[in-house]
Amino acid sequence: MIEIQNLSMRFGNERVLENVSASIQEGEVVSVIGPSGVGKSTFLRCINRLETPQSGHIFIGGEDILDPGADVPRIRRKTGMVFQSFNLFSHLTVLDNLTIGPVRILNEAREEAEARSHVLLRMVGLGEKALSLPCELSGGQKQRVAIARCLSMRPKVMLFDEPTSALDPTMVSEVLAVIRRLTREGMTMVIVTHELNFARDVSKRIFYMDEGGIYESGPPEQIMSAPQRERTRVFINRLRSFRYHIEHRDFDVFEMNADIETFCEKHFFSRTLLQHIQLAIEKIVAFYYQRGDSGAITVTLSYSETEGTVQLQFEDQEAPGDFLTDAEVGDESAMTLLKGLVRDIVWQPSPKGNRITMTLNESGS
Amino acid sequence: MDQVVLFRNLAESIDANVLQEQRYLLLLDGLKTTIVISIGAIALGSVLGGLICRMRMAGRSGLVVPAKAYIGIIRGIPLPVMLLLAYYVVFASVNISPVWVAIATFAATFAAYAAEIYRAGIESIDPGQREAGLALGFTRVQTFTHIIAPQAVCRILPVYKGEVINLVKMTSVVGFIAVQDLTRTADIIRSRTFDAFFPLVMVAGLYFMISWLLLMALTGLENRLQPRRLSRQRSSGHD
Repeated sequence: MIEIQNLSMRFGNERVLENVSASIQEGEVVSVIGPSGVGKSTFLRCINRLETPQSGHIFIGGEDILDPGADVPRIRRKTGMVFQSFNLFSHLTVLDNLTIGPVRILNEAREEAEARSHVLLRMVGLGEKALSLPCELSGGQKQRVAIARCLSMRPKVMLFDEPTSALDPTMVSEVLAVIRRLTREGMTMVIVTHELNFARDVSKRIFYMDEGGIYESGPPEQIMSAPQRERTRVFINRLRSFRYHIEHRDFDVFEMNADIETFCEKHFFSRTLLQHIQLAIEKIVAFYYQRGDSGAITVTLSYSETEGTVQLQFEDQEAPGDFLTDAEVGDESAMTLLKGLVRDIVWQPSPKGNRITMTLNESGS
Repeated sequence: MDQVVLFRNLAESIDANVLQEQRYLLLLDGLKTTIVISIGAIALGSVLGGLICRMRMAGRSGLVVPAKAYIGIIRGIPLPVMLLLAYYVVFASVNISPVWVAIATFAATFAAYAAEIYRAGIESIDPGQREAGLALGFTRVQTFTHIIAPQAVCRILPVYKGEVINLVKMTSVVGFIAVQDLTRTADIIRSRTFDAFFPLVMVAGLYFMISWLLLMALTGLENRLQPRRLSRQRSSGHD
């Protein structure tokens, strides 16, 4: 149905999409997820050429909408787009919003268009709102009208650009219910969304977008439960991380502690947990430099919002050696203290040197 | 008694300023000239303004720069000076009625202001409306005529009305190029009857009437275009 080939898009000097290719089958529902600002919406808007990319081809039902000589309005009619901000025609009633396309573009008779529009409005649960103006509707109702307006043009593909992002939480479900209904009817859909659970439920495939393209794609089970690539994992588990590079044993410990404090405050860590994190870092760094290492250490503090776990990771570039097990007698008390702070602590060799990973006791209790 | 004196004075004034020497014909002529210049300039200027607005919003510097220059120059020159320039310089060698010169000058001026009013109205429409129109399958032109323009008109009219009234009043300077409009007529009558009060107040009243009628007409149009009204009409027309 949709065949995207080597799509590249720049805004000024900023590369948004680079050499993106994808193909979407008829009847397939594809969700596009990813962090803000990675070009999800731009990607979707290229499909009906609301954005014109610098290069690439997009075939919709065999016709290239990006071809310079393409009859863009005609090819666009095969797609319907639902916007984040609804964009209902505010000077027209709900009914006229639905009939204007069929009557003016498809040259349908008004009576026929109105009859069909009433059916569509009932389908989205708004049969009684036909004569209301958009400004008299709630957000959820507006978005359902917007979906019905698209359907009035009998599109082959529906494009959803964050359809629930501008809605109150209480209205999200009514819109999602309508979209679910469309999936049951076999409509081909591309949905840009932040509702990960919804994406998992309705899609046949998920595109995770990052780094200017489709970073990882696959069935929902794979993307949601067993992502294969690093950034997908970070996004799915909603990992928040903080990294600090210690260059030398005389590093600015106050600066590091202040940065950690800011990070902890941002994620509402308890005071105790903050102290534990700082203490653990202090002890580990002390181990390093006692051993006589003088090189750099990278400290990564990460927090998974879905699992609620806080992890610390230390990486160095020294010769491999597990100093946790061969700690000298003098370090024993420090080691005991450290073990009291963490749930587990693991040493492993890393490609460049050593890596120590520890999971802190939950919320520092 | 005072009222009788007042009434007799009024009757005398009307007789001297309107009836004697068939001065009402002079007044009617003046009124006609003022109306012809006003309506002609508004009609022509509104169309020309649309063209300039189109150029101003084209996004290509080849069109934008001339439009900007036009608007800037017109707005920077006093109207009477423009009128004199048009009559004694631009149309000096052309044998043309000064009424036409006046219509052309006022239209050119009105166009510059109208262009900016249109632009403000069009730009006030959420770009999402345009995108929704295009996404539905309308061409650019159809999107403008079916979606942008109907909404923009409602926002343009209140400001446009003010500009129309302004133009009617500004036509009172056409006496500079020897056109006998309402103002000039009043002045002629004043010089003949040596009564300043009556003819000037009468003409002030006439200007007010013209402005008021135009205002009513445009307000009527404005109300008819309100979405609420349209939807009611539509629904009642179908039930």
